[in-house]
Amino acid sequence: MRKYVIRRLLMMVPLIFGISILTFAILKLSPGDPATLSVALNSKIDPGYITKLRASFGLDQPVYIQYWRWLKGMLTLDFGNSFMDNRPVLTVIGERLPATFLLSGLSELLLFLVAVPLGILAAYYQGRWLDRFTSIFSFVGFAMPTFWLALMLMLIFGVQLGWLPVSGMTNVGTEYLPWYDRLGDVLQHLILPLVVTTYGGLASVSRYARTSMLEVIRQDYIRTARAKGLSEFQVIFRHALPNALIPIITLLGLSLPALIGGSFIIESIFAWPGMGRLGFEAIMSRNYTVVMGIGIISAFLTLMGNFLADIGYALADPRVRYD
Amino acid sequence: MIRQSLLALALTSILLSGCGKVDPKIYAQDGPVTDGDTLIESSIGDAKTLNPALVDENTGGDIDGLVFNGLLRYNEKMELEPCLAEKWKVSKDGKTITYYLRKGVKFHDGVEMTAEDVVFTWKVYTDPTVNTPYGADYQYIKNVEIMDPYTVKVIYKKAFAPALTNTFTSILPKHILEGKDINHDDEFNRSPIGTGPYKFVEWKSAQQIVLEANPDYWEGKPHIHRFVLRIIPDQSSEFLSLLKGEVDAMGAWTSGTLTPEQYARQTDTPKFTDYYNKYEIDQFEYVYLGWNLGNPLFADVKVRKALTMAIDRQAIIQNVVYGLGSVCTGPFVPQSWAYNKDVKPLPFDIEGAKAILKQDGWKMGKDGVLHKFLHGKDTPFRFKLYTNQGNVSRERIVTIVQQQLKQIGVDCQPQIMEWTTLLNEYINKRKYDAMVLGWQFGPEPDCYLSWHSSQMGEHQYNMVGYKNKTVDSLLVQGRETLDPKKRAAIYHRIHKLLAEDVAATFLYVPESLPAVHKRFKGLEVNRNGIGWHPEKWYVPADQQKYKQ
Repeated sequence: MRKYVIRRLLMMVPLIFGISILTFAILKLSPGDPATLSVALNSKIDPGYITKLRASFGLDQPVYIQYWRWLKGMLTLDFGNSFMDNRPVLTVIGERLPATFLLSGLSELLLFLVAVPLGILAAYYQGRWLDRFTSIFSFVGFAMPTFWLALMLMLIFGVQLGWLPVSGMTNVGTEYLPWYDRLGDVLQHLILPLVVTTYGGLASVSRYARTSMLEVIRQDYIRTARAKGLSEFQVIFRHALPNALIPIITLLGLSLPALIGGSFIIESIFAWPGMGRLGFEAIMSRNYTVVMGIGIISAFLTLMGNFLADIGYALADPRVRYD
Repeated sequence: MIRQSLLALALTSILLSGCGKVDPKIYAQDGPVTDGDTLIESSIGDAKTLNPALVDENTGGDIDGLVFNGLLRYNEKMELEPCLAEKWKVSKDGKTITYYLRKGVKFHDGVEMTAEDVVFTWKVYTDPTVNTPYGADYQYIKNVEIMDPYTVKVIYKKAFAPALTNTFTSILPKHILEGKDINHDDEFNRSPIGTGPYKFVEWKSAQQIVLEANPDYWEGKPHIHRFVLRIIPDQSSEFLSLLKGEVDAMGAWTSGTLTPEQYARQTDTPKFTDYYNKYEIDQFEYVYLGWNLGNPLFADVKVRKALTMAIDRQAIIQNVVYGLGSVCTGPFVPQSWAYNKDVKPLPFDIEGAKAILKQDGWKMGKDGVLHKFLHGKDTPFRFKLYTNQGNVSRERIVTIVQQQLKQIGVDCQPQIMEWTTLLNEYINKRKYDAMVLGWQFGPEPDCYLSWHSSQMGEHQYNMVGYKNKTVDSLLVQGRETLDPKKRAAIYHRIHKLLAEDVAATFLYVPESLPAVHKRFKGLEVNRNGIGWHPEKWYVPADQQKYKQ
C-alpha cells in the first residue's frame, strides 16, 4: 500500500507538467491576446498602445520563451501577474476563493446531507410514492435551466415577497456592524445561490445513492441478517448502509476540484464574487496567467481528489487492495 | 393543532411584512437640501485600474470622473467651461494655450494642486514607458512651461483643436506619483487620490467600489455622503436589484443603463413607478453596418446606396430598441455641433434599390439571388454579415437585415461569433465582408482615426477601408482649425461627404436609459446626461435611506 501511495504522488508531478503545457498551448492557439482585447475598438485610444502593451506583457516573445518564463516563476510558486490589473495571480485568486469555497462547500455538504438520505430512502421504499416523488423532484431540478430557476427565485423571494437579498455577498454598509450581524448578512445572501446550486446536483447524487443502496439490499448477507432475526434498524444501519456508502466516498473525492470551480452562471446572476466568474472572464480576456493559475490549482485538486478517493475506497472496502 | 399554528404563523408574517414600510408617495415630494444618504449604483463590469492615465474601460473611467478633475469640462450646452483652470487663453495662431489655475484646490490628501501637477500629468501621458491608451493626443505638445505656480503655458507643434477637450482631463498628483512606476503602482492605481468631489474609500474586487464626499471640494461639499458602485454582471439581476431597492440607480453617475426592453416593457409596474424615475438621454454613440470597401461586391457607391435603401432603419429601431433611438445619417450624432442637419437619410425604398441594382447589371438568378459577371466569373450577390456574440441588439439587427436584403435578392448570411475571434481574425485582418458594430465617442468630433486613409492598417480604426482625398484633407483641417464656426463648417462637410459616399450604412443612434430612485433631488437632465454636478444632488432628511 505504501509503495502505491508513493507511486501515485510521484506520478502527479509529470501529470501537472503535461497539463500545464496543454493548457498553455490551447490558450496560445486561440485568437487574440490580452493587449488587443483591452483596447477592443475604443476609438479614443491610440492604436500604438497595443504594441506597447504587448511588449510590456512579454507577448512579443516566442511562445516557448513565454512558457519558460511562466514555468520559471512557478518553480518558486510565483504565479505571475494578472494581465488585467497587474496584481499577483495568487492575490487575485485568493480574493475570490473564499467566496467560492463557502458556496461550493456548503452546497456539497447540503447535497450529501439531503441527497444521500433521499436516495437511500427511495431505494428502501422502491416503487412506492416516496421513490416516485423523489425521482420526479430530482429530475425536474436536473432538467431546469439554472439561470431560469435563479431568476424566478430572485423575483419571488427577493422582489415580490422581499424576504431575501438579491445580489452580492453582503449588503452595503455592513462593514460597520458586529461580526454576528455580518455573519447573518452573508448567510442571508447565501440562501438563494445555495438552493439553486444544490437543487441542480440533487438528481445525480440521489440517484447514485439509490442505485448503490438497491444493489446492497439485494445481497445475500442482508437476507442472512434478516434471517438471523435482527431488527430492521440494525439491518439497514449496521449492515446495508455502510456498504452502500462506499461508492459515495468516491464521489466525495471526485468532487474536490468542483469546490474551487464555481459556476459562472450562478455567480454572474447572483453577483457572487467567486472563481467561476474569475475563470470565465480570464478566458474571455485571454488573461493567460490567471487562467494558468486556476488551471494548475484545478489540476492539482483533481489529481489529489482522485487519489484520495482511491485511497478512501481501499480503506473502506477491505476487498480492495493496491500493490 | 399544527394547522392552527401554521395559519397563525402565516398571518403574522403577512402582517409583519406590511409593517415598517415607507409609503412611497413621500419620495415624489421635494424637501430642503440636507447632507447625508448614500447613492448605490450598479455596473456590469469591474474596473481594471483607477489610474486615469491607464484606464481603458468604462467603469474605471466613470469612477475617475468623480475622483479627478480636468482643467476644462463641458457645460450643459456642451460648451467648454472652466474647471480646475478658471480661465484659459488661446493664442492667435492656435499654437499656445495658457491655463490660469484655480487657487486653493486641494488633493484629497490636503496638498494643494499647482502648475507642477499639470506639467507632471503631461510627462506621464507622454512617457513611452507608461502604458497609457491616450498618448496620441499629447504628441502634438512641444512643451509645457510653468509661468508661475498657477499659470501654465502649453505650446503645440501645430494648432490642434481637440487639445482643449482631450488633454488634461484628469490632473494627477505629482507629490504622490513622481518617481513611481506608474504601470505597477498598486497603491495609487487601486486607491487613487485626485481633486474631485468624491474621494476613494475602498475597492473590493468584483464586489464594489466605495467613494465618500470630499468635504473640501472646491465647488462645494457634496450633499450625498457616499457613493457605492456594485458590480452585478448580469442585466436581469441588475434590474431585479433595482426593484428590490438594493441598488438606487442605473446610469446616474456612471454609464450604466436600463436595456431598451426593460425600459419599454418592465417599468410600468408600481414596484418601479412608485420609487423610480426613468430618463431618455441621447448618446454619443451610433450603430452601423460597415461594408468592407475592399470587397468588389461593395466597391461601387451605387451598390452601397441600393443596399442602404433596402434596409428599413425605422423598423430596426422599433424592433431592436423599442423605438428608443433615432436614425443615424453620418458619423456624428444630433446633439453634436458637428452634426449636419441638412443631410437626409436615404429613403427606405425596395423598388428603388432593385432598380439601381438592375441598372448596375445584376440579374435575378434561379436561386432567388442576384447574379452578375464580376472579373469574368458568375458571382451571386452573397456575403457574410459579422457581429459579436452576446450583444442582443446587434444579433437582432443582423437577422432583420438578412430578411430585408432577401427581398431584393441579396443573400446575407449572419455570422455571430465570439468577440475576440471576430476582432482578431476577421476585423483586424480585414477578412470580413460586412459587419454590424458600434462606435462610442465623446463630444469632441475629431474622427481622423476612423476615416482617414492613413489609418487602414491592422489594429487601426479605419476598418472599412474608406479612402477619399477631400475627406482626408478636411479631417486634417478639422484638427488644426480652432475657430468654432470654421470647424463646424468643416465637420458639416465631412458629414455630407461620408453620407453621399455611403462610407458605411449608418443605422441608428441609441439612447441611454438611466433610472434613479425618486428620493434623489437636485438632478439636472441635459445633453451631458444626468450625472452632471454630482455634488448638487441631495436627499431630503425624511427620505434618506442610509444613515451612516
